[in-house]
Amino acid sequence: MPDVLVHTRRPGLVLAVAVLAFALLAAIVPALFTGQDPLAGIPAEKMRGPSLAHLFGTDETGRDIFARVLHGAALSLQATVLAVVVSLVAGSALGLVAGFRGGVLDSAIMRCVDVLLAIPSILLSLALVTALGFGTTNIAIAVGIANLAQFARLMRAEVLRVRSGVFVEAARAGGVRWTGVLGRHVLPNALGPVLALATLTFGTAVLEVSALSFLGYGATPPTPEWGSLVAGGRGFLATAWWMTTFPGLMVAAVVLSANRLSRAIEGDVR
Amino acid sequence: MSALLTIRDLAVSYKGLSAVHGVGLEVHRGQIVAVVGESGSGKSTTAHAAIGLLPRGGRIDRGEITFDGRDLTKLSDRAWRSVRGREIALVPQDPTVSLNPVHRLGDQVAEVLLIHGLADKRTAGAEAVKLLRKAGISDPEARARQYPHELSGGLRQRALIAAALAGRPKLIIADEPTSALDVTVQRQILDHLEELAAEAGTAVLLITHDLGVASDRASRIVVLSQGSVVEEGTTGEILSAPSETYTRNLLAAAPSLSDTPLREPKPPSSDVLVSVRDLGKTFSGVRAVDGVSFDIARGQTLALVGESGSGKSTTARMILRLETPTDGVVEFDGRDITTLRGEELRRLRRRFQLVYQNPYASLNPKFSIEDVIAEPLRAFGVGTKAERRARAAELVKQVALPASVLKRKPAELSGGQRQRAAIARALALRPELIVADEPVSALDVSVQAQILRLLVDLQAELGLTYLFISHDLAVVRQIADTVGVLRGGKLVELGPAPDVLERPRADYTRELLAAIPGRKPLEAR
Amino acid sequence: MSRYLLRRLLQAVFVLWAAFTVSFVILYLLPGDAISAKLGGGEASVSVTPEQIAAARAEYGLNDALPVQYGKRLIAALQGDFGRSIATGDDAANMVVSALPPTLAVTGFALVLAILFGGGVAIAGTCTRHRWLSNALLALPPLGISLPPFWVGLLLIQFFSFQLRLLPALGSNGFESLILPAITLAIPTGAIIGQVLAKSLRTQLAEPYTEIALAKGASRLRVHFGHILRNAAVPTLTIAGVVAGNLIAGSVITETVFSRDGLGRVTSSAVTAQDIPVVQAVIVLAALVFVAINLAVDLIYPLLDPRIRHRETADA
Repeated sequence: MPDVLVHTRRPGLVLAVAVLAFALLAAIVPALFTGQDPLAGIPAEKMRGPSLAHLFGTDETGRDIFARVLHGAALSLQATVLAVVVSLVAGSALGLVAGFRGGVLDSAIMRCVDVLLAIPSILLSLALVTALGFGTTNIAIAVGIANLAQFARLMRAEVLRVRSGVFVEAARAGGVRWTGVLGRHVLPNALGPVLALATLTFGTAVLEVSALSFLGYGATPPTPEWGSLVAGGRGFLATAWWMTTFPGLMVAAVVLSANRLSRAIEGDVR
Repeated sequence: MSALLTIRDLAVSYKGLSAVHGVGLEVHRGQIVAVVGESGSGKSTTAHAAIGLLPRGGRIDRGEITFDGRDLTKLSDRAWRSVRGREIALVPQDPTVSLNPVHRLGDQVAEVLLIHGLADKRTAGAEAVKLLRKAGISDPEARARQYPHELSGGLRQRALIAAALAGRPKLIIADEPTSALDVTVQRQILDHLEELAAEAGTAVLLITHDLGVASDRASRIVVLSQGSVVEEGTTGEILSAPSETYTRNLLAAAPSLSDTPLREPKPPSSDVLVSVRDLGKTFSGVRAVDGVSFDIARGQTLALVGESGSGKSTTARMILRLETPTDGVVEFDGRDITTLRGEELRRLRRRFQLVYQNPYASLNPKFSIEDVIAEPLRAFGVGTKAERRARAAELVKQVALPASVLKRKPAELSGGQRQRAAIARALALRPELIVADEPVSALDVSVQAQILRLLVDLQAELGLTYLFISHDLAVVRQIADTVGVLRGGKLVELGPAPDVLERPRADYTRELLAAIPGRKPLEAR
Repeated sequence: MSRYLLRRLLQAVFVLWAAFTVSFVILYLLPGDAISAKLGGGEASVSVTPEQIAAARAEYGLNDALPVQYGKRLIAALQGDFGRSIATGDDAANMVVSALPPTLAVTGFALVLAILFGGGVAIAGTCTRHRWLSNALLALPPLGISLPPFWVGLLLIQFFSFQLRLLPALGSNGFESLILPAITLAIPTGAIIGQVLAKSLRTQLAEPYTEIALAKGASRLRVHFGHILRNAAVPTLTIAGVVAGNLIAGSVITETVFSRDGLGRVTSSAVTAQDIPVVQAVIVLAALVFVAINLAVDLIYPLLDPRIRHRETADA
């Protein structure tokens, strides 16, 4: 990661990292950027447009939208991180075993993965949400499982690619045990693209988590979440454009930044 | 008469990095001029500048390229299109990737005719068939309807030559046209190209790393090094009286049959380290190796020679037990290791090690050179960490690398340095047998000579036994005691090196010997 | 050739069966109780007698042992019967199929837009000689992928319906109501197509055969359309199934945003009501679409790339 940051000659990348850092910081200590209460509104100031007092304006009960977006970052990004961890850990483990062991185990794992890929990930998360029930954690797990197949596929492909490399055979010919071959030679060289995918999936997961939250399967109101904030502004499209525009802009900025960072990591790996 | 192509003071850079500075050369009508140089010499850049196809990021900084009275550096895109294919044509390096995989061969030749209006849609097909026939392709009607993947590399290169000649250009730029092909095929293709060019009066700018190829084909030679011209002259001058040290070194390094070997071949010995009996390997029904038997004497070098698909690498891999033989027996130091498995096999690996062809791929890119060399020691738990580091430092010295490389990553080293590191790794466990699979064929000739020298010195110093795999008889001659010639998985000839190379019994060996480029002129030297 | 086809067909059947099984495992084995959700009407204060619950469970076949349930449902599903909706009591498969036409209208239109714009951007972006134009065009797909579709939809309504008053904001009446949802759906889909196609076009441009084509005197347009496009189409077609899946999944969002009727609305209300039979029918339908499209793509490949044709005949 520090390698990536050094390249100040890429202003887009620096901006992307800054946006992600801001979002993560807001998720951890939202009070750092705003002193206003995300839950209790001031009825006298309801439906105000953006101003210095309320950067993103206020909603129908006079709550500050900037404060709600920052506090919403906590839930939305926790869910996203959980989703990425679920798919990264479970998916990579499956792919690693499949790629390295090969044979029947490989076929069995990859057939299951194929099936997960055959169902669009939003629909798969919807099915999981149906079964698990609503709530932010359930959304996160659902999105995580729905995206796991890509990690399994990529990890397997990378392991196969690296494993067929000459230097891996050289290690084997040099008498290195298979644990050493896997841990010291295959895994470190297979990991780069997988981490790039993890960053990319961070972006997709933000989108999917907020989409599910938009549809109303996330936290119960008035707890703020990015998706539900956008949904909350739906009724006021004609009169209060800021209620939908700014929360959505935040989602877009974070996703775009994650994609940019992912491409940078992929580029550095190559 | 003025020259057809004149390059004057050409400078090309890639993203600000200079690749060529101040190159100049001339090609006259109907003449074959060879540009010779090692990797990074700028020979390919010069060639691509002359046809206006520098890779993305490449830029001509100064200089002029005059062709038939026009300055090519000032041409518009549209004007270039009427030059390419019609006046200047290109024969590429690797025929296996230079044809569009989804188009038929005939269409790809006919395309040139259609672009330049030399034929219409109705007649182009028949014209293409004629061109393919002229390029030496038998049954051209059938071939024209085939797709590239259905044909061998040699046939594909012939098709590309047909496409290059289709527009009846005045100049053909041939960029390493045969380096991806087997030697016997290489000779036929170059013969044909030479013949066709002479017939049509076409000039050829031949780009090659191989001084032998250049001396066989060209009337003039331009030697490039690090982006500028070192020496230029007629082939005779360059070969007999090179004025520059660089050229002399290049000539000295070029392996040739007339050179004295790096050391005297040893007489046959009965002290056998490796014995192979009736070895065979079948890959999905195809016999890759078939009934191969030989012995490798302790402290000596056995070279296995063959073209691609001869089974030479598979044989080596079976001896190392990286492949399991389908039939036959491999004995190492009197012990049958044909079916050895698991921990027992792993322990035996201390005694035989491998050096690969491609030093770029055989070193773990994430490791430092120190880790690369110490890895086998670590695998066998030899010594403490500090002792292993000391041993790595000692080995680096032994292969004549500076100690500073220890902390570096493979990507920071040159090809020759990497191959030295790979040899150091193979030596780490003090093995008895080293199998070297084409260890110098990915390297420049001057580096090749150094690595061969190193291998010979190490053998004398450490009493090593070598199994040497190569396609190049000239290289083999430098170091082998015994030579085996493989063809289609069968051993066609086996004997002491001087006998096989000077008094070959098999026709195929004779054919291989005859195909070695640079035979005539270099021998005359 | 016929053996190749047969194998692909068997694979397709396997994926369908597996999709059914996966959805059965997820929906019927995991906790979550639609029956009490339905009978309670979502309000805990309404008391439900255990007898009522038991009766309902029996009605929906939830009292059998799991393998028996699975077997019965699988056999029924083979006959197109996914059970009755817990929420409405209608036939689940019927609900899903009858919701399909309005969704197909939007997704079909969106697909056309996505191919035109995604493909156009990729081709123009890799073909142009102007670096700035190429950079600008090729930056569009990553941007399109990053925009939350529900937000894009709302922004479009804000602008075209409320500010310009050009197009209707809501509803499913007439062609005009198709435009905004189709654009919303086409943006991420077109972005995926554009990204994959641009990447394969650039890979092909770097291939030596491209240089040879240029060396023959071919123009950039000729190289693009005569040589590399067909080669680049093969990797792009592999994502056809994913694209179709995305369109179906995206309908859940667009139909909610634009209050349209269709498969997406059926799905989202089924999820809200934990209406398991309907959700399962949707998932199996999505898998069916995916499988059918991939089967079609498998048939197109050999026409595009003779090497695949070659491998097939070698297989058979």
